[in-house]
Amino acid sequence: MAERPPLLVGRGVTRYFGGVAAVQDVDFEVRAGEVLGLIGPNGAGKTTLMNLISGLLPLSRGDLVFEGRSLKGLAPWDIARLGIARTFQIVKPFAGMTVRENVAMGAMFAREGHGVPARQALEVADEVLEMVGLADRRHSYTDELTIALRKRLELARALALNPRLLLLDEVMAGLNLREVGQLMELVKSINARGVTIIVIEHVMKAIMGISDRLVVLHYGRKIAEGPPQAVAQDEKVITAYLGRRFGQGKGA
Amino acid sequence: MSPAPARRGGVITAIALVVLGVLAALPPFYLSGYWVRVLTGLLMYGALASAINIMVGFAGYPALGNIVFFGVGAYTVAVLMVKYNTDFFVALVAAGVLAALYAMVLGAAVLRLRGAYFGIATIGINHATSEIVTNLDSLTGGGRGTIVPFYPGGIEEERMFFYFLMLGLMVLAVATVWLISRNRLGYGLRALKADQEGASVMGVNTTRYKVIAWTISAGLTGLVGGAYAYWLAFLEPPYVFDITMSVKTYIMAILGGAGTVAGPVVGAFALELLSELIWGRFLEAHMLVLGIVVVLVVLFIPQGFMNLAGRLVGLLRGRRRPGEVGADG
Amino acid sequence: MVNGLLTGGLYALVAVGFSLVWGVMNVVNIAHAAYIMLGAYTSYWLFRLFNWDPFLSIPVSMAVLFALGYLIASVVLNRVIRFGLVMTLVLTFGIDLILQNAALMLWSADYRSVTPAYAGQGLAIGGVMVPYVRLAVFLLAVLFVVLFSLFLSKTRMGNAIQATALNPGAAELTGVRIERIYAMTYAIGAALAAAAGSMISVVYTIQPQVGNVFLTRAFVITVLGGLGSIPGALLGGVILGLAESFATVTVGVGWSEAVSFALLVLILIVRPQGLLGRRFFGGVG
Repeated sequence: MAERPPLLVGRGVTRYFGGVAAVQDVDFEVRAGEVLGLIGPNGAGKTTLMNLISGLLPLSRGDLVFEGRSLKGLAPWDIARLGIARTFQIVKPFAGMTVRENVAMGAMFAREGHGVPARQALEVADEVLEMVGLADRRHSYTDELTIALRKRLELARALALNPRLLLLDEVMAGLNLREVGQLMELVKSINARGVTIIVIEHVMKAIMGISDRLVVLHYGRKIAEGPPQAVAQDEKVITAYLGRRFGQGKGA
Repeated sequence: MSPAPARRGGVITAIALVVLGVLAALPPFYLSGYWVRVLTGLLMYGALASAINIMVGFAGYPALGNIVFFGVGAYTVAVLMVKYNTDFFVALVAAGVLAALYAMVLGAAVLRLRGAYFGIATIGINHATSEIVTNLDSLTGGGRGTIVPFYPGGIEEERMFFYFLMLGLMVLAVATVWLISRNRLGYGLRALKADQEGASVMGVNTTRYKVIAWTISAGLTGLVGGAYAYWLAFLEPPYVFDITMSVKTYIMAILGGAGTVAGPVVGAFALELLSELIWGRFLEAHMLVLGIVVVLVVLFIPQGFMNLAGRLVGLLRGRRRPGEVGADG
Repeated sequence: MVNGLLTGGLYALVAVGFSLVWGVMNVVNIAHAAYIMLGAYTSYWLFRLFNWDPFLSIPVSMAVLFALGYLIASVVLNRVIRFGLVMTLVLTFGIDLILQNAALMLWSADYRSVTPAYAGQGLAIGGVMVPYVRLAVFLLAVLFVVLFSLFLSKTRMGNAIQATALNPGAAELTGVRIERIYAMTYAIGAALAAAAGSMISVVYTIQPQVGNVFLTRAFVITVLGGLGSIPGALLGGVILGLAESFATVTVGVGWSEAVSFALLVLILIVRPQGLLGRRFFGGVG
C-alpha cells in the first residue's frame, strides 16, 4: 500500500491536569483515508487525546496540525468547521430535538462549502439516516431510543458534518455482539467513502478488524505503533495490558 | 413529506393568519376604552413573553432579570423625548438599539454563567441598573419620576395608536421567534440548550449564539419598554425595572410552552387576562393570586400549555412525545 | 465602622439559613425573605400583645417558622426539586409572593417597630455610641452561627444533612430518607431566618417587605463567602457589612445596593466558588 499523505500530525502533544500528565509527548500521524485505532489500558489518555484534537481541551505543550493548519488555540466549533467531527463515549444527544433535527444540525454546521440552510439540512439528514439505518425513527425524540440507537445517532450526527476526519470514542461500548458487527460494517463503509477515522475502542475484535494501523498509549505516552498484528505481539503492549509476566519472552 | 399536504398546510396557515389579522385589527373600533387598554396590555405582555422565550425556551438561559432591558428602553425614550426633543419613533428605535447593545456588552461576561447563577446575575443587573438610573437623576428624573411628552391627539386616537403599536411589536416579536426557530440560530440555540459541549463540537459557536440570542431578546424587550414609556407617560425606576413583572413574563413563557412559537403569547394572554378580569381590582390580592398561580404552574404544568398540547396530540396520534420541562437550571 | 461589623454578624445569620438550603437542596429559596419577615412579625406581635421581650420570643418565632418550613417543603417543594434549580427558584418566588402579600393584606404596609425599654441605651466604644441592642444582636447572631455549625458536625441529623449535600445517592443508600432530610433542612433554614427576623425587629423598623433587602444580602454573602461554607458566611457577612457602611459614608445610601450587586456579579464572574467555598456544604468541623 502506497504511503498516504498525513492528514493530522501530532508533535509532542502534552496535556497536564495539575501536576499529572494525562498525555505526554505523543508524536503520531494519521494518514488520509486510513482507519487509525487508538488503544491502551484505561486511563492511558486516549479520550484526553481526542479532547485535545477536537478542541475541548487546550494543549499544554506540543502541536496538532490538520491539513497543514495548526489546531492550537482553536475553539471546538472552529475545529468542527475545519472538518473534524467526533462522537462521545457517553453519548450527548440533543434532548428536545428529534432524531432528524439532531442529524440536521450536522448538515447545517458542516465545514466550509458544505453547510446548508436549515430546511435543506432536514432533507440531507434523511439521507444520512438512511445510511445508518435510523430512517424509521427520524421523528422520535432522543430519550425514546435505546443505547444502541443513540450511539448510531451520535455517529449519524457526526457524519452529517461531512467531515474529513472522524473521531469515534468507544462507539461500540455497551453493544451486544450483533450490534458491534453492524456498527463495524457501518464504520468500514464510512471509511470507504473517503473519511479518515480515528477509533478508540476496547472491543478488541472490532478494533483489530477495522484498523489499518494502531497507536498504543500507556500512562499518557505512546508505547507502540504499527499494523494491528505487529502491535498485538509487541512485548511492551502485552505488558501494559496484561502485566509483566505475560509480556516477558514474547518477541515481535 | 409529499408536496401536496405541505401546500395544503401552508394555505390553511395563511388563511388562519389573515383571519387573525382582521380580528386583531377590530377591537379598537368596537370595544370600550377599558377593554382596548386591557388588550393593549395583553399584547405588550405577549411581546415580552416572546422576547424572553428566546433566552428561556431556545437558549435555555433563565433570564429572570430580563426586564432590565424594558427599563433601559423605557428610559431611553423618556430621556430622548424630554431632554432632546426627539421624535417618538426615532426614540423608539434608539430604545431597541440601546437595550440590544447593553445585552451585547454584558453578554460576553455574564453568559459564561450557567443556570441559576445566570438568573441571579440578571436579577442583580436589573437591580443595579435601576439604582444607576435613579442616581442619574439630573438626566432621568431619578426617584421623583419623569414625565414623558403626551401623545399629541385625542383620547380615541391615542388609544388606537397604542393598541396598534403594541400589536405591531407583538407581531414583530413573534415573527422574530418564528424566523429564529426555522433557521440555524434556532437550531444552534436548542442544541446548546440541550448540551453545550455537544453543540460546540458540532460547529456551533456557542458564545456567539448566546450573545446574539440575548441581544435580540433585549432589543425586542427594549422596544416594548420604549413604547410603554410613551403609553404610560410617567416613569419611575421601580415601574419599569420591576422584578415581579420580569418573573411574570418568565412564567408566561413557561406556562404557554417555552421553546414553542405561539406558546408564550398564549401564556401571556391567559395569565394577564385572568389577573385583569378577576383580580385587577385589589392590588394586594392580585399579587397573592399571582403567587398562587406561579406555585400551581410549577407544580402541575411545568412544561407549559403548548408542549402539553403537543404531547396530547402526539398521544392521540399514537406517537409518544415527551414534553420539555421548562428551562432547567 | 463598628456598626458595619456588628451588622455583619446579623447578616451572617441571615445568610446561613439561605446558604444551607442552597447548598444541601440546590434550591435558591426566595421565600427566605418571607420567613425573615414572619419571624420579625412574630416577635412584634408577641411584644405588642403580651409584652414579651423580643429576645425571649426568638425560640417561638423559630418554632413557628420551623413548622411552616417543614410543611411547605414536604407538601410542595419536594415535588418540584426534580425539575431543577430554576423551577424551584420560581416556585419559592411564588411562595414568597403569597406570604408577603398575605402579610400586607393582614397587617398593612405600616412600619412597625419593637421597642423594649432598653432600646435606646448603649455603650460607648471608641467614641461611638453603640446601642446595647445591636451588640446583643451581634453576639447572639454569631452564637447562633457557631451553634449551628456544631449542630452540623456533631449531631446525627447534622451529619445526615451534610452527607446528603455531598452525595444524595450515597446518603440514600445508607438509609437516609432524602425527602425527610430536605424537609428538615428547609425547616431549619426557615427557623434560622426567623431568628434573624426576630433580631431584625429590634434593630430596624419592619413592614411586610422587610425581608427582601436582607435576601439580597444573603445572596451576595452566600456567593461571596462560598456556597455551603459557614465561615464563609461569617466572613462574607462582615465584609458586606463593612463595605456597605463604607459606601454609605463615602458615596451615599443610594449607591450602596448597587455596590453590593456589582460585587455579586463580579464575584460570580471572577471566582464563582466564593472566597472560602468548596463545592458542597461543609461545616466548620
